[in-house]
Amino acid sequence: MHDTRGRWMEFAIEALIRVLGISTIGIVLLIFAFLLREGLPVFFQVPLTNFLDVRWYPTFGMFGALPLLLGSAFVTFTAIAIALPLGVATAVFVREVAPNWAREILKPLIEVLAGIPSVVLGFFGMTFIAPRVREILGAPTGLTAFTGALVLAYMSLPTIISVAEDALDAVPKSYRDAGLAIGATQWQTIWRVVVPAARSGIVTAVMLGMGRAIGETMAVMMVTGNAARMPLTLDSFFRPVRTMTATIAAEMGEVAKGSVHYRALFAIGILLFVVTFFINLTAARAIFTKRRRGGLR
Amino acid sequence: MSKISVKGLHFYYGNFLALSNVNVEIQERHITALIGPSGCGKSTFLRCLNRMNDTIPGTRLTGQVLLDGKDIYAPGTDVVALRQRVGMVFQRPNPFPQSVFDNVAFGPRVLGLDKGNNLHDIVEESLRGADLWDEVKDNLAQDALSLSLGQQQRLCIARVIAVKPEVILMDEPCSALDPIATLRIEELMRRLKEQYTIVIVTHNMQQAARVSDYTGFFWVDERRSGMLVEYGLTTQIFTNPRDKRTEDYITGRFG
Repeated sequence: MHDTRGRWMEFAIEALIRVLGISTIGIVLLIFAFLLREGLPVFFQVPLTNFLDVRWYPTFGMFGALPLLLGSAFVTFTAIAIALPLGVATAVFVREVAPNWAREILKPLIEVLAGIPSVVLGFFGMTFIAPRVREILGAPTGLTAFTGALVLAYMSLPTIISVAEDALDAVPKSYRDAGLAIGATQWQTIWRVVVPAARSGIVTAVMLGMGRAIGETMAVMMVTGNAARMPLTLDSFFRPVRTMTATIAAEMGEVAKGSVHYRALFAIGILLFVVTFFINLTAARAIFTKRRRGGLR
Repeated sequence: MSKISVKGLHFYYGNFLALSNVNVEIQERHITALIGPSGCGKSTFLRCLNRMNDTIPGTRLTGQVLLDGKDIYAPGTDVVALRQRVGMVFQRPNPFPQSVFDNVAFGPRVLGLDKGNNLHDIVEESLRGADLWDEVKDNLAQDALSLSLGQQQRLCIARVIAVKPEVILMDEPCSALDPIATLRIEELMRRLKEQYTIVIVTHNMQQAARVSDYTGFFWVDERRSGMLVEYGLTTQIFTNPRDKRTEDYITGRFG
C-alpha cells in the first residue's frame, strides 16, 4: 500500500518537473512565434527597400530601420570599446594584483553594480553625465550617442568584469609560476601568459556584455536624444542617435494594434532578436572552445 | 667551487617551521639531488633558491642563501633578475597554451635578449640544448599542448635555458613521465651539467643515484619540520651513509 503511494508520488513529481521544464521552452517558442506573427506581415505591406531605407518617419509611411540598426550598433560598439579595456583591466586587478582583503570587498561590490536598475542609471546619465558632455565637449546637446555609450559601458562593466575574472581564475597557477620562474615580471606574466590563456573566456565576457548593452532600453532612451539619424560621420558621437530598443519602447504605446506601424515595430523586434541571438551564439561557441581545449590544469 | 651556499636557513609557513637550520654548499656545474620522504620540505627548500616562495602569502625565511657569494634575500635584491639566473622546471610539465616557438621565445622576448640576436637562432639552440629540436623542427607553430608529456617537459627545459640561466632547479621533473621519457631527461641532465649547475628534487632514489654527483637527504622530525640530515658525494651517501636515518631510508627500511 505504502509502496504504491510512494511510486505515485515519484511519478507525479517527475511529471510536474517535466511539464515545468517543457513549458519554459514552450513559452520561449511561443514568444518567438508571436513576434513573427505580429512582425512578418509588414514585409508584405511595405516593400523591403522601404524597410532598409535611411528614414524612419512612420507617420509618413517611411519605415527605414537602417538608422535604428546602426544606432544600436554604434552605441553598443562605442560602449564596448570603452568597457573592454576598463573591464579587463579591472578583472586583472581584482584577480591578479589586489591583496586578498581588497578582493573580498571588490567582488561583491561589482556584483551589486550589476543590480542597479537601468532607469536609475538613465536618470544619473540624464542629470549628471549629459550636462557635462555638453559643457566639457561642447556638443550642442548633452543627449548624445557618446552619453549613451558611457552609460551602457557602465552597465556592461559588471558582467564583463565578473566573467573575465572567472576566466582568469581558471588559468592554472602553474602558468604563472612558469612565467615568473624564467625571470618575467608579474606584469609580463599577466600580459603575455595569463590573459592570452584566458582569451576565450574574455571573448565570452565581452559578448555577454554586448548582449546586455544592445538589449538595454530605458537608460539608452533617457540619454541618447532619440533622433533617428544615420550615425555615419565622426561627429555622430556627439549627436543624438536612436536605437532599436528605444524606438520600440517609445512608439509602442501610441500605435493602433494591427497597423503597419505596429507591425514595423515588431519587425524591429525580430531584427533585435536575430542580432542578440548571434551575439549569444558567438559567446556560447567561445565557451565551448574553452572547454574543448581546457588542456592541462 | 660552490655556486650556492645556504647558511642557517629556517623557513616558516605562517608560524609553522617548515625547514629548520639547513646548511649546504651546492657545487658549480654538478648535479645535486635532494631526496627524502614526502613533506620533508625538499621542494620548499628548492623554491627558496630562486625565491619562488615569495609568491605564497605568509611565508618567512631567516638565514642566508648566497649565490656567488651574494645573499639573494638581502634587501634591494632584484628578484626578477635572480629568477633569470636561477631557472626552474616544475613537477608537471607546464608549457604555455601557445606554439612551441612562442614558448621558447617567451623568455628572450620579455628579457629583451632578442635585440641584436636572431630569435629563431636562440629558439633553435635552446631546443637543441633540450634534445627536442629534431622532433619539433618541422612544425614550430604547433600547439605546445599537443606534444607528449615527455616532450612538454623537455620544452619547459628549453624554455628555461633560452634565457641563459646559471642554475636550473628541477622539482621532481620526471614524476609525471614514463620510464623512457624519464631516461631521456636524465641523459639531458648529464649533458646540461657541463654548462649549468643543477639542483633536482626527486622521489626516485635510483634516479638520484644515477644522475647526481652530490646528494642531500632531508628528514622530517616529530614536529613535522624538515631538516637536512646528511649531505655529501652521492657515492658516499648511497654506499656509506653516516646517519642511521639515511641508511634506513635508502635501503628501503621505511617503505
